[in-house]
Amino acid sequence: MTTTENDHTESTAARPAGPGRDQHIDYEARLRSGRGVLRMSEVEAAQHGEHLADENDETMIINMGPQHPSTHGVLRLMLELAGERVVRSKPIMGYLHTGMEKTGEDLTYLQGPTNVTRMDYASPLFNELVFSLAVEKLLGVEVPPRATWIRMLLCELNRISSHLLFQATNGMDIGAVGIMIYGCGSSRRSPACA
Amino acid sequence: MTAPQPEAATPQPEAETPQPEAETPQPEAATPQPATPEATAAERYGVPASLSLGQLVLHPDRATYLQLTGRLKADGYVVCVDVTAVDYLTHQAPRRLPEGVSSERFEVVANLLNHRERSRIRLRVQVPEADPTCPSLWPLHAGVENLEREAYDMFGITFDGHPDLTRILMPEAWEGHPLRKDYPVGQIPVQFKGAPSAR
Repeated sequence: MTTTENDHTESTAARPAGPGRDQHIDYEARLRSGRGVLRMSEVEAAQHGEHLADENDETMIINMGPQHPSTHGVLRLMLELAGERVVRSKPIMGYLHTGMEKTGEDLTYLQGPTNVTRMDYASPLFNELVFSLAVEKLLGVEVPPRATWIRMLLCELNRISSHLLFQATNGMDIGAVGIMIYGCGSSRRSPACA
Repeated sequence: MTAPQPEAATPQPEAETPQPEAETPQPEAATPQPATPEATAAERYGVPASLSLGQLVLHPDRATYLQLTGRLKADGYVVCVDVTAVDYLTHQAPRRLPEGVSSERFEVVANLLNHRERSRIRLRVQVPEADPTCPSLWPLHAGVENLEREAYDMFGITFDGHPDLTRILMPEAWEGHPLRKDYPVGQIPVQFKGAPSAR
């Protein structure tokens, strides 16, 4: 056991300098370079096929979605394809945006939690919690210990159930239906998930 | 989220107060009055500062906004948590702003986070209605790309230096900016009336 650990550390130390742990990688610069990001408006994308700036430009822009089995909710991906290879992509969202912030402008403090709880159906109690905490901080209200503990219990149960749902649907996307059955079975045993 | 403890439920503004200049407490201790966090920050960064419920707030103008964020990034505020905007159309009357800050209709609000010192700083930039433009933080924090797109979409504030300032939530051909206070919501006739709203 000790020898294997030693071997492991030695091999790590003897590794030639590459993009290892110590080497600084400028992830922000990589993000900023825009490689893989399709920064293009829909009007430009529509003109892309008609007016080719470069004769050798053989990429094609197609829309994946808004309705697609692998997109949870409604998501459209504007994809730039070179043959079958995706060169760049731009996610287009907002199909499910219902203007909840605008709705919230007219709500009272007691109506507010009912609005924010619908923002994420998998973990609604966290939204209610942060809304309540923000309101309490603004008003200078202190809740009793019992309420704090109830909040903690409910949020822990909700965290478990939302993670089970996340893992289960992840399995569904690659065709593993079994994990969905187990995930839903376990999450339904959690009182926070009806 | 940390596990809530009953003892920690009381609001403690002092516990969250950022201490940007924790390394030089001696010269301040010599003065008769200890400097408040906002006074220390205002002196260090050269912009008006205030304290809001224990949160340090800096009020740069549009000319110093990007430069100040760069200084804060060098000081350890390496994460830009959020960039959003506020429309003060219906709350123009006396707003609590520090000396030297003239209130405008819009405000661009950026929240910065320092992991090392466990402190946060909020930046509030006044943006006038006649010229709703603001520098983009994208050269410093690449992650604000979509946040500024949302602020542009919802409030109509143009961010100079943004690589792809298009609408993000509304359709591209949409007219108007929904979260502006003068944006008409529209109504449909209903048979039953609900509870009176706050407005």
